[in-house]
Amino acid sequence: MRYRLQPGSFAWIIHRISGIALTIYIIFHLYFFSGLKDPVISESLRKLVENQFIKFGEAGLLLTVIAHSFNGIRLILLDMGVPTRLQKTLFFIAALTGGMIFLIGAWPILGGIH
Amino acid sequence: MTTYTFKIKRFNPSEERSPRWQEFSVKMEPMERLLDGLIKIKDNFDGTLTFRRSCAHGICGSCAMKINGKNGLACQTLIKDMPEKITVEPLAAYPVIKDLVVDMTQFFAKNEEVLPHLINNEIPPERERLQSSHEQEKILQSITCIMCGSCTSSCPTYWADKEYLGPAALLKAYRFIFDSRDRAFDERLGRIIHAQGLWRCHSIYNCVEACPKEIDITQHITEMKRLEVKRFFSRGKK
Amino acid sequence: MRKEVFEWFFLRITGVILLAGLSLHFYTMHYGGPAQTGPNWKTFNFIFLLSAIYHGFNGLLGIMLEYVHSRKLQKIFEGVLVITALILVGFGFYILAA
Repeated sequence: MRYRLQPGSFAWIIHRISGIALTIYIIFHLYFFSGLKDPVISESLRKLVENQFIKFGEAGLLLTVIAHSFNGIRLILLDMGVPTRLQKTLFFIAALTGGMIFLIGAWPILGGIH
Repeated sequence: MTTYTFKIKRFNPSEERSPRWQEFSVKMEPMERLLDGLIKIKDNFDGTLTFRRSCAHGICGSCAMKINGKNGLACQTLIKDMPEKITVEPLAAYPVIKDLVVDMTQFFAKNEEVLPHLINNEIPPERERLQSSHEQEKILQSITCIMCGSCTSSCPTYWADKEYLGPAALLKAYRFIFDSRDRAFDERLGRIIHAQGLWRCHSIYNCVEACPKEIDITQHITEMKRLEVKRFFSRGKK
Repeated sequence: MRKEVFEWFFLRITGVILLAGLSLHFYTMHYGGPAQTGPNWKTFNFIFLLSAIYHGFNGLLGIMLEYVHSRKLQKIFEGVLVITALILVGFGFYILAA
């Protein structure tokens, strides 16, 4: 279906995709970390976390979480009675603050400057 | 006079297997409406082009269609606000009868589901049932709906699930739930608070963008959601 | 009827809990926050875990019901989602009980 996008529908698409991705991530997250008590698995996990590729994955995870959370806050505010005319403004505020928090958060994950 | 290109989605299900696009170059004055362009095409280029129109003044809701990827009324869209290439399609999510004419049976069936008429068994007063201006204000926006179908056909949730009531029917439900003269409050709410009613709305706001009467549909739906949450928490008490 | 309003409302409540939980979770795991030990943290993490699974799987269930229309398939998918969610709760409790 081709239909012109606007912030509301764009946010909805992002919310769905990130939501599905995060729920699938929970499955793997809990599955892997259920082996944490085993010293061998724990050691291999620790090594894995230091892998550069995994670090990018972690930054991606942070971005997904932030996107879903900030749009979630936007939706709750709109449900609580923030008028419709502000839905686009709220979208841009969420994108801007979310983006900044992502940059601040991703810096230490990616290792900052060496 | 400027020449505009109309790219129109043509489809005759009784003779063709799939829709096709056809382009027409039409000279238009800036103050003309998109509907005038369609009429010119039908009169001068191709008499088989089919579309609905009746009042041509934004009141009957017949000429709702997808214009440059967004639903609206052809009679309310001015040529001066359009780019030189205009894409016109029938409303999405409804079956096409021919070209820009869609079958709106589903749409009106949803409307019937929410009981679109006043229910009040009290003996009517000698003159009309009165409403204060404050009570009138509560439903003022919702009564301006012309039932053109632009909103429901713009809703991604409705595209996915045709069982969903859709914004137009929910707005109609609001119009009677908050009408001070109506007495079927509980029954009306009961008809919309199922999984494929009120709770299917995900605040996407496509309906608000599409509505040619500029009704804040999502706000009305949200208000009913809040009402229902309040009722949920006050039920045990009393 | 009561089920739907509860689900809608609880999806928002768990969303807020998750926001708080995730902030702390990220802080502890990635940004050198203090270790989460003691019974209070345990309770917190249990609620965090249950919220995450409820929120995520209820979301998936809602999306599935929107795009899958055969009643039979809906029941099958619903079963798969509920079982997966319960297994995950089991995994989570196993990790947290350490």
